[in-house]
Amino acid sequence: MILHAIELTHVGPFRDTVRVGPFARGFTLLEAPNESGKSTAMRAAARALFDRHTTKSEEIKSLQPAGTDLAPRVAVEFETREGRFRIEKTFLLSPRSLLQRWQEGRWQAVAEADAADRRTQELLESTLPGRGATQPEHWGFLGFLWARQGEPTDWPSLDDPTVGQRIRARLAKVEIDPVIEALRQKLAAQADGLLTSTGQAKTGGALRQAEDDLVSIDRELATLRQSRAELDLAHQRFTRGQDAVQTLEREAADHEKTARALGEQALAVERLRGELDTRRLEFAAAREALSAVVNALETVESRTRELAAARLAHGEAAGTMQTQEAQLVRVRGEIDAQLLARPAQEGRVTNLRAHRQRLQDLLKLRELHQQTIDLQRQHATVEKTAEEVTRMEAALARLPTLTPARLRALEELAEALRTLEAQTLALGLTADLFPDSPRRVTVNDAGEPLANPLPEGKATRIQRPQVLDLQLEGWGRIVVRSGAREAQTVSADLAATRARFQQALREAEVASLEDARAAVAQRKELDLQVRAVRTALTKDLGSHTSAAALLDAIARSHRRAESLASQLQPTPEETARGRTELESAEAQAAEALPAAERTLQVTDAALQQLRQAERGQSDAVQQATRTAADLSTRLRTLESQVADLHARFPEGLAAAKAREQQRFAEAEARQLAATAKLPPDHERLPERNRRATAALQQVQNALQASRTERDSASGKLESLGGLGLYSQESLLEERRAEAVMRRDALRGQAWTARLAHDLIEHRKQAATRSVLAPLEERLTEAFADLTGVRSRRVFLRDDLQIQGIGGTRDTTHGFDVLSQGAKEQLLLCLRLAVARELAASEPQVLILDDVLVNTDAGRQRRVLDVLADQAAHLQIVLLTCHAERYRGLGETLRLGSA
Amino acid sequence: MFRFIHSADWQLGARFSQFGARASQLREARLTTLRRALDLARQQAVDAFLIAGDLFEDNQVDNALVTAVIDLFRERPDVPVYLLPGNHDPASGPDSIWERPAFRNAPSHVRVLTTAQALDLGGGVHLLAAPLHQKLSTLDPSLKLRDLAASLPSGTLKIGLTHGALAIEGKHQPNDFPIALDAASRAGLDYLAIGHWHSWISETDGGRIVMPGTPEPDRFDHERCGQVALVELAGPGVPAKVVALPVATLTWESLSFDFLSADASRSSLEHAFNALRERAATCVVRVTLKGNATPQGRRETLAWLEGALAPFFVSQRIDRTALALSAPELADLQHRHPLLAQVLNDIDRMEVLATGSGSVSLPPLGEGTGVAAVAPPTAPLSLAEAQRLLDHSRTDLASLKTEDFVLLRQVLLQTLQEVAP
Ligand SMILES: [Mn+2]
Repeated sequence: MILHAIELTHVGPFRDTVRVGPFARGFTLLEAPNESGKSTAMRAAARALFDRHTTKSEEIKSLQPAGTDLAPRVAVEFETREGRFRIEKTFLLSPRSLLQRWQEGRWQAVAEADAADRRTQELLESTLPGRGATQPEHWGFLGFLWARQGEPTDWPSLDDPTVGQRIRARLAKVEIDPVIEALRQKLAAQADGLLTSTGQAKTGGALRQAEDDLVSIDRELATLRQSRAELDLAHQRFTRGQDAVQTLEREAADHEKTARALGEQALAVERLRGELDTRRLEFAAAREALSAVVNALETVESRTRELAAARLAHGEAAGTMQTQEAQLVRVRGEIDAQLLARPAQEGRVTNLRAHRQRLQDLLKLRELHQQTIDLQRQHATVEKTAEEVTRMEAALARLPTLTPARLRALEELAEALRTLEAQTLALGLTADLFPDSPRRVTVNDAGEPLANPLPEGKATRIQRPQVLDLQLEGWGRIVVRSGAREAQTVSADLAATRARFQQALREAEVASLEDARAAVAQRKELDLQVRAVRTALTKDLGSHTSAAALLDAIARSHRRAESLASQLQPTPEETARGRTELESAEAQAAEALPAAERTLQVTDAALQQLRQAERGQSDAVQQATRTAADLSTRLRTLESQVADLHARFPEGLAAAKAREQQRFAEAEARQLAATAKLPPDHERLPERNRRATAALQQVQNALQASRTERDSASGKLESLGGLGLYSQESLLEERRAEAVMRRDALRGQAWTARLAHDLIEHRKQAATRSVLAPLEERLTEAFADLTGVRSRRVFLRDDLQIQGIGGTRDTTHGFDVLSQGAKEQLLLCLRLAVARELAASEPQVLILDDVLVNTDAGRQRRVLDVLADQAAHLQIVLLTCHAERYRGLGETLRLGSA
Repeated sequence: MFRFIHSADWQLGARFSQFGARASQLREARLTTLRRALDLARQQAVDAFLIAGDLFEDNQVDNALVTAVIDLFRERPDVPVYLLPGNHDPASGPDSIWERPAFRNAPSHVRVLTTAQALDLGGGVHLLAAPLHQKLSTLDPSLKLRDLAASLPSGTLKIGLTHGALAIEGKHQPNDFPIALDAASRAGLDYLAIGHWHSWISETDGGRIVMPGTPEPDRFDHERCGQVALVELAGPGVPAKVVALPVATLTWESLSFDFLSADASRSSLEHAFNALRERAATCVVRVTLKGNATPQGRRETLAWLEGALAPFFVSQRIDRTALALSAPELADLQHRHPLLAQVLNDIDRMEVLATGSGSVSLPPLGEGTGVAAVAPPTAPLSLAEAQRLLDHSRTDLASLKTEDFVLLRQVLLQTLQEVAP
């Protein structure tokens, strides 16, 4: 696209219609001072070319002349390979769009409104943003070929799928193949439906579904195989159990035979042992009988000796008993003597104690009487003082409740009132009326009353702040007005203050300020007095908290005296006795009491000693009696024992002994004969028998356990065997085979689609890389032409952005760190290269808006050389405020020349 | 004279994983065959119906199948059935299929021979059975038959019944119940009915030992199966008269289609399908596609096959086609989409890297096609690049086979046709 002219109305500084153009096919210099609107004009042209006419974005509003609501109108005449067109757009208020084409020597309408916008977009191969104004990336090729003021080093990304890719393809001299692009996208869609970006099965995708199905089938299969393994295990258990049962049954039969044989042997031995036991018992009995005869002989001898000793001891014990009894009789006599003296001593102590107690109680009674009288006296004093307090407080209550602060407020209000009245007087209207004769005058407001009729020849003064409205008898109405505003304010203040003052008096319950002052003074005086009388009352009360408490104390004291008196019932003589007399009697009683008590204690101690002696003696007598009785019993026992022994052996003790010795020898011989009949290992037989029985039992137990084990395995087998595990597994295996096929097919689809896609992408990138070097070559040369420095190369990245400049690819200075001037020049080279490529199929405009600000004068010349060369192939529009730098290059347009 | 049917290896409940959900139909067919064989026995008014092992594929098949089998027997009370446990359904204990309630309560004309025994069938005929109790054994099960026969009076007709491999040198596993090749004469049997192998063998031991094979084929290209033996014994010492009776329900047909001669292949397939048309409902058919196909040709053939295979009981298609472009197609492709030509080259290169050899789909650029290469010359794909590209789909280069590359080209060219028909 190339530009022919721009027409602006109501844009920026242009309130009227301004035409910029015609632009030359080659080089055009658009010259104007800074801020005169040349960039604005170009921006407006972009809006007309690319934006919807209905857009209301900030970018459009910024076109409006400052501080106006005028609707900007922009028309651009341009040319594409399809012909020459004119687009005219009016923005904001009543937006319009009209596309015309130059045909048959005149402009003819092609489309209007949205259709015009759309058609223009097609012509310029531009795009639209979702909302808002377009940005350079929407401007088709012009987005790349327009170096905007202040952004000369901005270079849009080449990654966007439309313009950027096209430019990239053109730069790389790679044709964009729409079929391959569609193929690539379709493959990507196929792969992405099944795989994640990292090549895993995608959640929700068919592949993942197949994998999940497989996992769940495998899980079921595992469960089933578990059951199958259990069955196999049970089968083994069953076989083992069955074998064990057979083996053990044979073993049990063997053991049973052995046990039976041993049992018979043991029975025979048992009989022989029974006979031996009988012989042993007989032998033991004979031995016993012999030893009994020998024992009897020894016992008779020892008992006879003991009997003699016992007779001697019995005589001695009888003597001791008599001596002890005499002693006991003596002690008991002494006790009786003491007991006789004790009652008199005890009576004296009791009497003395009672006497003393009564004396003490009488004294207490006296004291209580005295206390009651004292308290009654104190109460009378208190009563009097309290009356005084009551009287003063009543007087205080009658006074108005007016605090000094409140009085102060009243004073201040009065003062303000006075001030305001004085001001009113000074400001307001004053009429002095001197009637010739008494006249009636009415003041037509609610002011103070006048004496009516007014006295004659005497001045009656009426003052009002602003209006004086009088009704004069015999004359009529007179209204005098003041124009003073201040008087109005003061008068209002005065009325308000007066109302406040009256209100304050009412609240204080006084008629006047004087009354208030007097009330405050009186209240202060009375307060002092009340405080003094209250202090006196507190002193009168002493330890009591109140008069009522005092009365309670009197009553309590009186009650206690009454109660004591009724308990004591004093005789008249006692009542007559003085206090001192009672006190000395009490002291006498107190002295006599301890002596009487000591006498009694001495008697009690002697008695206790005597009773102890009596108990000791009595015990000794009993002991002696028992000893004598015991000895007598023993004598009788020994005598009867000796007699018994002699009676047991009537043939005589010696003869009995000889007979038993004979019997003992015979029994011993019989026992030896029985022992000899037993087999030599008869002792081991019971153990062997027991072992055989135990072994049999063990085998039977093991047999039982094996049967149980076999039967349990058998039960398990029967239950598992009926489940049809093989059939279930078959169904699952068949489902699994299907799932595997499905999974493998999807997996095949997925990886092949992805790989095919990646190979296409890989080849596209490889193609770009293959043209990198020639492109770098062209740029390096152009940059050298521009800068005059031939030792540096320009390097591009794979995505055709400038990587930097330097000697080798590894030692470049990155684009970002280059000087602003170098960046401008590099981008100018790149733009020229792009424009030249694009111009091969359609004329192109390159707009350079004040781009070489950082280029020095030396380079400027070379820039001019380059631009002059390029202007043969491209339309170049250069905006500047330094026209002198570009003189002689081509057409010069001054902004404003229509 | 004693006449009986001798069958074996019914393998009821067998698994057909490769057929997925259609496997149950294949299982169903075996019951149909059993019904047919029993009906045949009834027509022939035989004295016995012997099953020499492996009536069931496994002891753990489901009860529904067991009940269905018993019902078939029950419905034909005039056909006495003698069942021998084989190595697939051994009498191994409480979990054996013969202990299922259905068998314990089987009608009296159904005898399950779970222990070695000699049965007096009346009329001087004895049936001597040696059942199997486990899945494997190196012992010859017919030895028991010799012991059983020794206790029987001579001059009676003795029929043996057992299960195992014929001990032919090099043709059997040592633990596969090897039966001596003279087992019948050794034991003095007039006929030894055995089962185990799935093909008919009737010449052993002078025709005294017969293996009838499976009555229902279970795979493609299976020979000498699908029959039961009808046996006639005139008396002791007289050679048996053995006739094979076909009973199979399904036929299994394996066909192929070669794109090398697509038209010829198609007409021969059509011919074969026509021949099978009448038994299509009982035919399991498999078609293997091979040779180099153009995307177009392959698509058309697949569409045709889909319709042609529809009437068959079960059909299976195995695609071993390699996708190929004709020389003009290739030239056109290179001319119109040079980048795609490069990608196809890359795929060839990758195949070489992965498999060490490759089916080159494109001739070298510009050579023999009469068209100059449009794309600039490019470096071939390196091993590292190839693996890096494959990482994106988590695929390992070394694991890729020739068929993977066939698929890759198929997907690429197929998709190309979809976006640019
Ligand atoms: Mn078998």
